[in-house]
Amino acid sequence: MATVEQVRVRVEEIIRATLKLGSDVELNPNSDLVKEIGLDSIEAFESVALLHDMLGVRIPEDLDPKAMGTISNLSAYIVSKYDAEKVDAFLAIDVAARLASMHEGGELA
Amino acid sequence: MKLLAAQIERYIPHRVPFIFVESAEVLGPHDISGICSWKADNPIFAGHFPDFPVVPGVLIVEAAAQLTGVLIAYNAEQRGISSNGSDSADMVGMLIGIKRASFHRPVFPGNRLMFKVSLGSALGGMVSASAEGYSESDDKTVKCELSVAVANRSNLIGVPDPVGSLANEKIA
Repeated sequence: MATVEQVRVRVEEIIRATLKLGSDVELNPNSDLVKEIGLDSIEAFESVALLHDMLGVRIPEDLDPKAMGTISNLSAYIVSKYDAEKVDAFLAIDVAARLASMHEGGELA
Repeated sequence: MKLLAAQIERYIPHRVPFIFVESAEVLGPHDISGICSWKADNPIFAGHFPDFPVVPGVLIVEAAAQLTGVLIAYNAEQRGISSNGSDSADMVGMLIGIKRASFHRPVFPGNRLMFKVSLGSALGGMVSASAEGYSESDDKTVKCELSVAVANRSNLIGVPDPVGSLANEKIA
């Protein structure tokens, strides 16, 4: 069973990739992604959409965007919303390789 | 549901010379197909290029975005949000992202592209979409991934984060 902490590490990796932040930049998991970390609405949407792409699902229509404001909240949401098989597959993804293939013009998913 | 030109103009505000969707067919809440074309008398071809008119790649992506907009507006109408209502009259779909695009062969004036667009995730008035376009002889012509936002046109100017401020609901 994956833990919220394991998922948090992966979510942070994806947020860093979206913002092109180096590992030397501190990302507080409890900081508000928009107000404190500095994502604008489009970057926040792209990050949440990318998380769901990697889970292999669309963003649920009933998702409350206000509940997605921090890395911790996103991680807790993933663990509580999706079954162990999906979460384990999410944790197994090589984020850097996946993003590289997306940017290099591979086949559309 | 098949949509012809007059019906398409009910769903998106684009007009000649900047509407490229000829007809469309809604295949479901996440999928739409459509035929897009560029007439030879479109003024863009005077410059792109003189003596060798080719449809600019950006306009091919624009056509995919227009088709995406048709489906978003159609879905809104199906949910009872009128495309002619006073609230929605001020709304406009904006292309907010092109994640990836590849153009596999040139498109010339008069050519028709057969597009298939699938909506991905949606949140806070923003929607991602994947599009594939094929020539009339079924050759792969374009693939792209894009994002569209529905925003309030009257307040788009002079706001630091206009999409986030004015989309149907904030993302955070």
